[in-house]
Order: sequence, then C-alpha cells, then structure tokens
Amino acid sequence: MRMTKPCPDAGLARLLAASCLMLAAAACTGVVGQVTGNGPGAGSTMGGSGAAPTGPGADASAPSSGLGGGEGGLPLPLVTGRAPLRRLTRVEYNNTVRALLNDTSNPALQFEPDTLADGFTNNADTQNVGTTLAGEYLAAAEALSVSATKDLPALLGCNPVGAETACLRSFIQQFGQRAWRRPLTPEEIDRVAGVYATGRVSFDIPTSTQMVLQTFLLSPYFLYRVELGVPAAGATVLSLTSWEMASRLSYFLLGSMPDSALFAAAQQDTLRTPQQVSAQAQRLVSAPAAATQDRFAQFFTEWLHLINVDNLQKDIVAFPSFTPSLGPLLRQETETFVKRTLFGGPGDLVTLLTAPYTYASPEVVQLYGAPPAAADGRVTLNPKQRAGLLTQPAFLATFAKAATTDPVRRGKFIWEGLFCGAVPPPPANLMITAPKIPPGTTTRQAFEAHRASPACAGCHRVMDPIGLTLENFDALGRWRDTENGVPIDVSGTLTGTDVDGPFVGPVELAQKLAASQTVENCVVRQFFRFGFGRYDTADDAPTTDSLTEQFRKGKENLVDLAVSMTQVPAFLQLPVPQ
Amino acid sequence: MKVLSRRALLRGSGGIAVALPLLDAMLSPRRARAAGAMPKRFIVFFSGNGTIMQAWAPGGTDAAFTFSPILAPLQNHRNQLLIMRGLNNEVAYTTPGSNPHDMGMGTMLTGIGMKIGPSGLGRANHIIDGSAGGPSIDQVIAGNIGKASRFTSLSLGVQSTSTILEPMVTRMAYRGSFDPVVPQDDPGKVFASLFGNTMASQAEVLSVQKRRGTVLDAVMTDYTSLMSKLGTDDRAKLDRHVTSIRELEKQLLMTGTGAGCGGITPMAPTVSLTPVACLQDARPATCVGDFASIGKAQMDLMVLALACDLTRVATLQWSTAESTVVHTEIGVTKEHHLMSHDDVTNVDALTKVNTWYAQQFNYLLDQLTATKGPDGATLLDGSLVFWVNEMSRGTDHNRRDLAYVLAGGGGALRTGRYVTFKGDPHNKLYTTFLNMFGIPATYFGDPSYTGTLTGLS
Repeated sequence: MRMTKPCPDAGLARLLAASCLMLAAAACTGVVGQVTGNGPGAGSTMGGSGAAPTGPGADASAPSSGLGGGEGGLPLPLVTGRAPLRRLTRVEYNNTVRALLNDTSNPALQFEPDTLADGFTNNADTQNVGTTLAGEYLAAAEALSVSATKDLPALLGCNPVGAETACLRSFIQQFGQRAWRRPLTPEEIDRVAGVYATGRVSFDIPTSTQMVLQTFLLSPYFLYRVELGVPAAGATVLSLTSWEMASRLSYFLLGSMPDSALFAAAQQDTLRTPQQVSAQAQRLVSAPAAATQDRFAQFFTEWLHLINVDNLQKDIVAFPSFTPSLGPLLRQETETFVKRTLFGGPGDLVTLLTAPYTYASPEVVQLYGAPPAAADGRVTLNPKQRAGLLTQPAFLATFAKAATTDPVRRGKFIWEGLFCGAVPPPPANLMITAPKIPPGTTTRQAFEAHRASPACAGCHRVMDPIGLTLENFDALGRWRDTENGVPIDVSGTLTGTDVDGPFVGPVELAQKLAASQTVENCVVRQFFRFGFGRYDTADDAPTTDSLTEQFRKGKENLVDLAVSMTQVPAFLQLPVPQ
Repeated sequence: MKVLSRRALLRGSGGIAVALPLLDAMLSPRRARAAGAMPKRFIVFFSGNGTIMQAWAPGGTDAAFTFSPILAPLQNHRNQLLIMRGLNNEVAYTTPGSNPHDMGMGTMLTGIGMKIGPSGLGRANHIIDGSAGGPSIDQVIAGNIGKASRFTSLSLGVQSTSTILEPMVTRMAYRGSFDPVVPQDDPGKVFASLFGNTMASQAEVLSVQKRRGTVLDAVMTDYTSLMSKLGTDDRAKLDRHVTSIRELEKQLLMTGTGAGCGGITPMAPTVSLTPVACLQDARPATCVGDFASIGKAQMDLMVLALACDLTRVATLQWSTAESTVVHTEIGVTKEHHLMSHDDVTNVDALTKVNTWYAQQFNYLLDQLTATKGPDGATLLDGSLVFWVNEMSRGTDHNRRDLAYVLAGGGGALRTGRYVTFKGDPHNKLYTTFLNMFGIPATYFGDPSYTGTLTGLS
C-alpha cells in the first residue's frame, strides 16, 4: 500500500517530532496493544507479523500465573540466561581508575560515547572496540601511568632503589590483583615483570613502571569483566569464583571495582553461596556509599532517557529566561530526588511516581513556582499539579521541543518505557505532516484531528491520550492552565493496559501508573537490563516475573529489588561458554 | 551537441564489435578509459535524509546534461563528474530491521541485510544492538589497497556521534559484521593521530615506539590466551578488539609521511569542539562545535592525509542518517530530519540544505584538484570519490532511484556525464568499484545481486 495522504494536514508548516508521527492504520490498527516481547521476538512482532496480540495488561498477569501465585500452573524454572562479556562503560572506567589509582581526571570522557541501547549505556551486545577506541584506551593508559608515577614510592609501596626486582615484583603482584580484580598467575607476574625488565634496558625506573601500568590498563582483564567461572565437568551452568562475584556485585551496585570488603571476601572465598552474596549486597545498599547512590540514580537517568538533559537547549524567544546552566540543575534535581527517596526515604516505586515534593536548587524551585526548600532540602509542590518523576522538568523538558510541547513523544515514552508496550513501525511510504496549531487553539485541538485520521488513529489513540494529559506542562516543565488563551483540557484515557479507563491530568496519570502491575513488571525489566547489561529475552521472563512478585510483596522497594536481583540464577551463575 | 555513447554505437551495429573511428561526438569531455587505468584512492562523502529529486536531477542526458539547482555548485568540476540516478538499494527493503533509516544506512555501503542483535528492536523500531551484515565497500577496498599505508583507512565525521540516535543510523562503515568503524569527529584528534609522531623528534618517536611495542606485545598475549577460553560470541568480540590493536600498532609504529604531502605543511586545525548553543527544534544530539567549520577542517585533513600518502581510503560522514542538524549557517531553522518528512512544505529549505552539501562536496573536489599526490598528478585524478545518501527521498523513505555523484576515477570512469539506470541494484555499482580497483569479484554484499554496471567506463 502506498500511503501518500498526509496525516492529517498536508502542507501545514508546523512539524512535530517525526518519529512520533509516523503511524498509520496499516501498521498500527489492532497491534498497538502488543507488549514489546522480551528479546529478539520483539523484532518479529513488529509490523503486525503475527505475535500474540496481548496487551500489556495480559503481560502483567504473567507473574502471578507463572510463578507461585497460586493461580494455576507450576512455577517456571528460572534460567541463567546469557552472560555476554561486558566491557567497562565510560562511567565505570572513570570510577575504576579513581578507585585504583586515585586519579580524578575522568579520562573516559575523552572516549567515544557508549552506544545507547534504549537509553542504557551498558548493553554488552553494543560494545565493540574499534581502532578509535583502542587508540583512546592507549592514550588514557599512558596519561594515567604518567600521573601515577609522579610519586613513585607511594605507588610502589617500596623503595625500588637497591631492591629493584623484589620491589617491582611485589608491586606487580599486589597492584595486578586490584587492577585485574583477581590474583595473577605466576606466569602473568613473570610476563609483566618482563615488560619492566625490557623497559629498563632503555629507560629509567619511572618510565619502566609506566609501562607496567599500561600493560595492566590495556589488558582485557582490566577493560572487560572477564568471568570464566569455576570449571565443572559436564555442567551446563557454572558458578562464579568469589573474585568474579566480587566484581559482579561491585559493578552492579557501585559502578566500580570491588571495595576493600569485597576484595577481602574474595580473598577468603566467601562469595560462593546465595546468602554470602546477599549479605554483601545488603551491606552495600544499607550504608550506601556515594557510588551506590550514583549507581541507582544512573539507572533512572538512563531508563528515562535523561542522559542529554545536561545539554538542554530551548528556544530563547519562547523562553527568554532560559540559560544552558539549567539542564544540569534539572538532572541534579531528578537524581537527588531518586537518591533521597531510595536511601533514607520510603524507597518505593509509588513514591517515585507520585511524590508531591522534590529536592531542587533555587533556580528549579523558581521554575516550579514553589515556596523555598525546607531545611532538609525538601521542596513542597502543589499536589494538584505535581506527582513524581514524570512531572519533573528533567523529563518534561527532555520530551518536548524547543518552544512547544511534544505530547506524542511524552505519550510514546510512557507507553514504551513504563508499560513496556510496543509501537509498531510506520508504513514506509506514509507522508508525515504534523498538525498545525492555529492561534486561539491548543495542542490538543490540533491532535484531535490527528487522531480522527484513520491512517494515524491506530497508534495515536493509545499514545496521544497519555501525552496530552501532560499538556499542563510547557516545554520547560512549567505549569500552565491555558495555551493561546484557551483553557487546556487534560482529560485522557488508557487503553490496552491493566489500569484502563478515563482520568484527568498529570496527577491522576501518575496514580494510574503507580497502580499498574504492568508498570511494576516493566520497571523490573528495565532494572534487569541495567543490572545485567543486556536486554531481557523470553528465557528471562520467569526471572523478571519472579522478581516482580518479590518487588510487589516488598512494597515495591527498589533497593530491595536490587538485592533480590543478586539471588536469581542469572546473577549467581554463568552459562558454559558455547 | 548530443554525445553518442560508444556502447550505443556498438549495439546499433548489431552488437558486432568493430573498430570504430573515434568521432568527436563520441568523446565525452573526458577521454575514455585508458588501458589499465585504475584509481589509487577511494573517498566516500555521506549526507543523509535523501534529497529533493526534482531539484537534484540534471537536465538532459549523458554528456549533454545541464546542472540542476542542487548540483550547480559542482559546475567547475563538470568534466570530472559522473552523476547517476536510478540505482536501487533493494537490500534496504528486504533486510531484517524495521526503521527505514536503519534499513537505508545499515545497507548503504554493505549491500547486505543487517543483523538484529539479541535485544531486538527498540525506540521507533531501531535495531538496538545489531549490526550491518558484512563489510562496507570502503573497508573491502581498504583491505586491498590500504594494507601498506600507515592508516588502512581514515574515517572522519562531522557531529556523527549522537548520544540519542541508535547505532545503525550513526555508522556507515564496517570492517565486518558487528565491527563498525566509528568516525572520528574531532579534527584535533585526527591531526594528532596523523601527524603526532611526525611533529616529535626522531629520538622521541623511537623511544615511544619502543615502549608501545613492548607493552602491546605483552597485552596481546593476554588477549590471545583469554580468547581460547571464551565462547564464540565473546571470542569474536575480543578478536575485533585485537584487530583494532593491530591496526593501531601499524599507525603508531610506521613513521614519517612517506611523501611530500603535496607541498603542504601540516598545520593543526584550530576549530573548536566546545559545546555551542545551537538553536534547535528539539535537536536530540549534543550540539558540539560549529558544523560547517568542523566539516571544512575534516576535509582539509582528509586531503592532507591523502597528499601525504598516509592513507588511500577515506570517508567523511556528515551527521548521521536521520540527521537532526539544524542548518542555521544557511538560515534554515528546523532540523533536517523533521523537515525531510514533508518535502512539500519544506521544499525550499531542503533544497537549500542539499545545495549546501553540494557546496561542501565541491570544496572537497576543489582541494583534491589543487593538491598534487605523490605521483605528481592531482589527487582528484587518481581518486574515486563517491557522494552517497541513505535514501533518495526522506518523505517516503525511498531507498530506490538513488541520487549518486561520482568524481575522478583515475581514468577508469568516463566522466563528464549524467547517466540514469533503470533500477539496477546498487550492489552492482560496488562490484564495479571492486573491479576498477583490480579486485576480482562477481558480486558484492548480497550474493543474489551479481554483475557489474555497464556504461561507466
């Protein structure tokens, strides 16, 4: 079918984000309710090619029917799943060299950016080292090694003058164990010592020591999180060594190399049972280091696609007071809100999605039009206007255009990112033209026509009614009651979900999301993707369903969810290499 | 005067090959291919989101063509051009995947279906962690003619790194499946890698090389021993890393420029990559540096690298497929991709954008013409230059009837012409390229599209 009929107002000047406006009846009708299948199956559901037409609501019922819900059916076994070799992300590299060398230069900021997989920076399947990145690794290793050898005795822990060989050998052994996050074999020690000896033929002690450091920092045992497991004949899954488990825990919960307690536990080989693993996870989140808090905040920034809010740009005509310094403050607000809620606060998803308060800088408070922060930093917001993460400016301004709002993108993100619902692709030949918003009308009025077009309605009847209920927030996230002098109608409805029905405005939307079991399951799946550095596949559904059930029973506490996640086979085991 | 194609004459005479006198009318402005003529260098120039065909397509045919508004900036190079339309990227319709920009870009230079990764499809049905299905034409050519160069190939970008867009639309070159070549967007870094070791003293260079050689040798042992313990996918991932280190070693350990650099003294670029405030209509990528001046710096560096014979294969990727650049430098206020979805309303602005890209292509051709290569001929003379786009029209994401411009060709192309094809797969063009470079091949990419294009030489 060749669709050239525009959707719906050909020739009108104003365009909206095209990615959100490209849906037509052929691709959309009847399939928009599909849940993004776990994994590659998602591909086959696209284009209406025949996956089961279940809505997200149906997906939400899966946990209880699948696992111990007592609603029939035996629990499905949880599988270990894939464990692709993970490379340090930029954030992890910086954190690691800070811990290892006390180097705060953040060299990975110079690396090519991590490839984003639906917002996440750490998807192992996207990580490839081309020549550019290999060169950046080399440059970073050289720079780090020069800085680290400025105070050589402090680095080496011994005086190389006089007892050079012994001093260096002991340094290689001790530093190597931290850099590679496991003890070195004697052969490995010999080989690195060989680099030093070769260096010394031509170079001085500091230069040769730099070569040693570079050898460590360029090795796959530093750049990757190598997991070979404990060999076991005939096994299909392997358990991890305590050293490997220490790194799994630390990169999951600290975004960095193991801390001293984890290294001690690895040394004592006491990271082998689920209880031992759980105890360490519990320790890390109970007295959370700044790194742990940052790690949780990172999940939210990546899941909500806020990674670029630092570089927020807005139309200076529409927003004369806007300055680029606002972006980082918006990110800081969302991150602080997440950290304060998760650590020392209620810790639950409902609060994150509905809280009528935040923690924000004076500039952002002004944007809210709220009274100044209390002594503990809390800013009380109008509970009729604000409810949690999706009513914060970081989200609202990211999912908006320079001057105007973008209800389709807002609605589409909530559908895909919170309901894990799929939006089928547009027909290839559809000519896309966005509605124009004439003076004296609102964005909603323009979009009513949009949905009236059969070519567009298939998908937009699902996405638009969500996004339009956030129309009270302008492109910067400020509250507004009218647009172009016309009162804004923020009534909406949810279809194809487990919380279907009409509602009015952003606060009721937030309440709907907070009440949805589909959203609950979707958040667990998103957290799984972040925690395991890969997408969840159909094989992982029993695991994510089981975690969802624990999450629900545990009053949707995300910190507890993280601990639960260390107890599933996917965390405790490895598949045998194929 | 209409120019008759030599082939048409041969066909007209019943297909019997006879020695024909060279008539003036048969001569295109550039002489027919000399025996054994072969380009020495391959250059790819990419701009995205399709064009405005009615403003791009030249008038007339063959050597009698007249320049269109978009291509008018190239008039001075008329005799060096081979403008072509009518080739189809058929693979871009049959490939796994769903997003049309993915499908266009992921097959543009590879001619083979993409691979969807373990994660399937994500936002707007973009492939999340998949790859092109095989190597791109530039990398295959580089693997043949670039081995002796310090840089097997040089991959440059102009704001090609988007922190929001998905991998398939941000890359066009692949060494192989799951092995994208990421363009370098920073002219300063390009300069440092090209000339860093020629700026230092000889003693310094030798010292650095000795250290790096020792370290990389030891590191390589780690990679090879680890690889033997891993499963297939992880081993392949490390193998690609090792290939990158090998290439890096070649870049680091080979010395000198090996050529007179066309008499140009290498100078570090002054262009800045610091973030700039670019007024944007929801432009999702980080806006860093000035698009036009970064592009000029990259083209200058490319020409320099070719003149110094540091590489024989170079690519320049302007932005990405689905480019979201706001071309404020020419008074366009809306982002390119957004506009390309409605080429009725935005016909003037899109024509402007594509004309601007023609001006940039012209600048590159100017520099290649003004600079002598190691053999004393102009760089353009010995180069095959290819301007490519992931689609022909953005509004319907058309990946057929593609709008291509070739330039130079080292005597292997009969230039000064505008030719139209009737839907041949673009794979045939790449097979023709391979043969032009003396690389035997009967197909490129998808094996079902065999054969070469006739009428180019």
